[in-house]
Amino acid sequence: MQQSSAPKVALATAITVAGGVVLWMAGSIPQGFGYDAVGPSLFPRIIGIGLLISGALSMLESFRPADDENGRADLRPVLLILGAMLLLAAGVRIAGWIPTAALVFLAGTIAFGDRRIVLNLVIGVVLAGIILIAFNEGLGLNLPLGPLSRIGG
Amino acid sequence: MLKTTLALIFAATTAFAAPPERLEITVPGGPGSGLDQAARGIEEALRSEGIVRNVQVVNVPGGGGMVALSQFITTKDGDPNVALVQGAGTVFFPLTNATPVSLADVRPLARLAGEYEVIAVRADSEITSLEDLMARFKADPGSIAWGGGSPGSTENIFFARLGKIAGMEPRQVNFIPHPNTGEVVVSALNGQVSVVGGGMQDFLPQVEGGKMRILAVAAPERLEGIDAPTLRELGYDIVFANWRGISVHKSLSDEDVAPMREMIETMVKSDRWHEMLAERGWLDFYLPEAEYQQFIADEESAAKEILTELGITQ
Amino acid sequence: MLDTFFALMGGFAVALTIQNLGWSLLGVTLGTMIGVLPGLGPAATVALLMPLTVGLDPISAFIMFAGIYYGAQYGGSTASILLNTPGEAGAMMTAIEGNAMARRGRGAQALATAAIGSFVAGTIATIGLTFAAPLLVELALKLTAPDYFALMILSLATVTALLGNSVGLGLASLFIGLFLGSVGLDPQTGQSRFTFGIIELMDGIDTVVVAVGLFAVGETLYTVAYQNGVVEKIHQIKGSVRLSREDWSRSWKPWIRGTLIGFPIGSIPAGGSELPTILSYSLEKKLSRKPEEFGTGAIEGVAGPEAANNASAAGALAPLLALGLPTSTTAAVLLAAFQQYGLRPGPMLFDSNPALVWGLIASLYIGNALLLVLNLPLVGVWVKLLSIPKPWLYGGILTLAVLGTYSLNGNSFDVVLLCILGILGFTMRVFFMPIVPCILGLILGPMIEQQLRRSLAISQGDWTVFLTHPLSALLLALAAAIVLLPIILQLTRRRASQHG
Repeated sequence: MQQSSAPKVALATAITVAGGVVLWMAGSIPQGFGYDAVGPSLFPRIIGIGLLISGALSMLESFRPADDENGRADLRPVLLILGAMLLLAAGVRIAGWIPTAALVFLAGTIAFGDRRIVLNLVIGVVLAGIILIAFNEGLGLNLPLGPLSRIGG
Repeated sequence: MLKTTLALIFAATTAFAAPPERLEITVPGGPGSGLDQAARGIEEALRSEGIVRNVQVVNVPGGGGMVALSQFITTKDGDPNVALVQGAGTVFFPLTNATPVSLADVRPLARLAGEYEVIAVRADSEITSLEDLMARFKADPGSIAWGGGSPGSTENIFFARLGKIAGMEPRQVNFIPHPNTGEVVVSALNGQVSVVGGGMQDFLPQVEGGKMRILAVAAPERLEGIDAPTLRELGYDIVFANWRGISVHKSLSDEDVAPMREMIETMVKSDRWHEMLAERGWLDFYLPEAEYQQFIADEESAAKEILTELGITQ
Repeated sequence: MLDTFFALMGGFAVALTIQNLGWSLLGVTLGTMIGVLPGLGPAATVALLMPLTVGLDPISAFIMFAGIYYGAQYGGSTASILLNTPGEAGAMMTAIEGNAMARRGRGAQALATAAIGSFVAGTIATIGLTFAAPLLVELALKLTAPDYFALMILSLATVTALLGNSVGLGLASLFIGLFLGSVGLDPQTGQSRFTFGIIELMDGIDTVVVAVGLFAVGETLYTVAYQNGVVEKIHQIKGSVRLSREDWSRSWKPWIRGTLIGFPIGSIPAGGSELPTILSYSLEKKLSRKPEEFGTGAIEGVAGPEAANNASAAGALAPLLALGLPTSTTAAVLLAAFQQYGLRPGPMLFDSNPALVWGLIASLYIGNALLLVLNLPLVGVWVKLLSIPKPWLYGGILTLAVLGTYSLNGNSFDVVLLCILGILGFTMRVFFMPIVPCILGLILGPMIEQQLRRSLAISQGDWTVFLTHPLSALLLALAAAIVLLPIILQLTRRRASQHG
């Protein structure tokens, strides 16, 4: 079954548009005055033009017959994983490393089809806990303790 | 009689505020950076002299020190046991970048240590002296490449000011930035730049090894152990240093700050501190709060002036 | 020459005491354990474990450092091969081919070739360091900005071998990498570029975040999207865990070539550790008889880059020992370690403290050898790690990825970046966009720009400086040849077949 070229066209368009945006942003980078005669906007401009050209080439290539394909994609586990990671980013200072990292672990296991939520949550907590102890005590790095910081510390 | 004694004791104990029980030092830089080394120096002195037993150094790198500054301001409200180290770079960075915070948002407490900028060349360079350097510079400004740290940083400002004092336009100084000291030394040694600037410690191993020599130092008087004239001696009225100091949160009252102040005063008089300064080649730059804040204000306005002329202020 | 040899033997005498061997062993073990964590490269590992060495006498401490250092490198390649989590830029090439091999059940062979290659490279490079450090550094100092620029351009030219089937997408990957590399403050003028007012972006996007995002996270997202939630084990070990004769014959030349690329470039101050691995990878692909295997598990793609990585790390010690100049993060950490012992590396170090320097060099040999002896038998055990059920394996990979990223700066923003780059990695895999050009762009872009503008500033805008410096001219000509030759050949072939 031939893969439709619509997604490839979309990608090529995205690349081309990105090139345009980069080129436009490059225009607003203030020039230096230095002896280097080239300034900070040269490379961004080259990148913008490069993306435009790549986008155009990709567009042409997207109508070639596809010899590789992926099958259907299930994006829900992808969103689950990304969500857990973003949750950690947002909450790690408030809630601490252990619960947020445990949730990342849990999200990974659920995404790969393991439905034993309680078991995996426990494993996640233990894993995160080991990491916390090893890093904070052993290596002197500082993973946030969150509410735990009120105990001793 | 008893009342008087008690009153005296009471007065004595409140006038003498003991150093804080514990201290957390925020470092706007990663482990190994200049400010980090300063913080660890402070930590060591405090601990070995028994001034503060529990000292913790926390690194918050990023954003030219602004990430640490920003975090310090938002999260350390009212905490008398935390301090932030800073240096010349922390003053200069907000001048050339649009940052949401600057040193004006914290309370600088004391300047502690530092070193004066020096100008150095490769040992076999054709430039024989500072006068020779300045003569060549004035004759053909673009032909002299001056190597130093990041754009808008200490050396950039130092060289620009020097150029101005020599009667040229700051923009005529062909400043070649480098991301770290190692690259500055390499640029000196492979001859691609004419001169370099930096702290004495940066070039000392090379000077001792006979690979580089110092043309001049930007100090008020000649430095011990270095056979090079001061810029003032040669007619260029400029003193420039890379310094380190600490600040506390602006929300603290004078009472809150007393323990920290006590701690600093004890530390800078202590043996271990002076030992360490000697070991690391740092100079004793102690300035208490009022003078320190004035110093920062002066540095900032001088830097702003020259950066504006260079056209890189934000 | 002879007295160098005796001095080295003296160093061995110091290093080979039971006690010091014990420290070496400890260092190697700790280093491997920590090196496995993404985001913690050898330099960070040495920095973290340095406090443990306070109180040891200098030689023992350095022996432990050397052990930690090599251990961390090995841990890093193990993680790259088995988990696809390169902890630093130099490990990325290993991750590409090594992990592909692991997926086909050939993880043990990948680990073995990496271990042996690192040992061979490390040994040869350390010999080079012993006898040639000052000379090498003297030569290296003859290079100036235009020469560096030309070298980077030459490296960039090798991307033509790596574009894959779709030139458009391959180039897009390159330019995306160049874009990622240009985010942040411009190193020449301090202007903000593409920072959107976010102060965390002012220092640019950390290579580690890109590596972990594109590789570990991107791969995980891709696998989970197209697996339809099948719970199964992957990576069954095919056949034995030993290197076959074919594996040996395909590995030994890349080992040598990798070393020859890695050592000199590592000793050049602005060489960087990623450049040798990239060059080695491209070279091996060009020279291979089965270039189409690259991307699906070609053993040369592990052998060469691993050797190059190790050799360049040893090379980077040359400027440190000869001049006191740290030109790599690891060297900088070692410098700090030297200073901890009141030593000041500089041109005088060999003279002022020979025992220490030779002890250090001897301990490099020992650490290298110990690593091989310890880990080769364990290869079979390591690979069993891959038979953990996918949900747990990937859950663990994700947790480690987040750990490595967050612990870089203690900054949540880096984790957000990780997600974005993970999405990018996912997208690239969905559309079969090659990833290597992106990495090339990310690493080479800033270097090329800096050297170009520095050259022009020093020459005051004179572009001919790239041709008047002989080495620069030569390298640029070579780069042009690499890019144009295949095109010219194709055109002439086409014309010949038209007329034939």
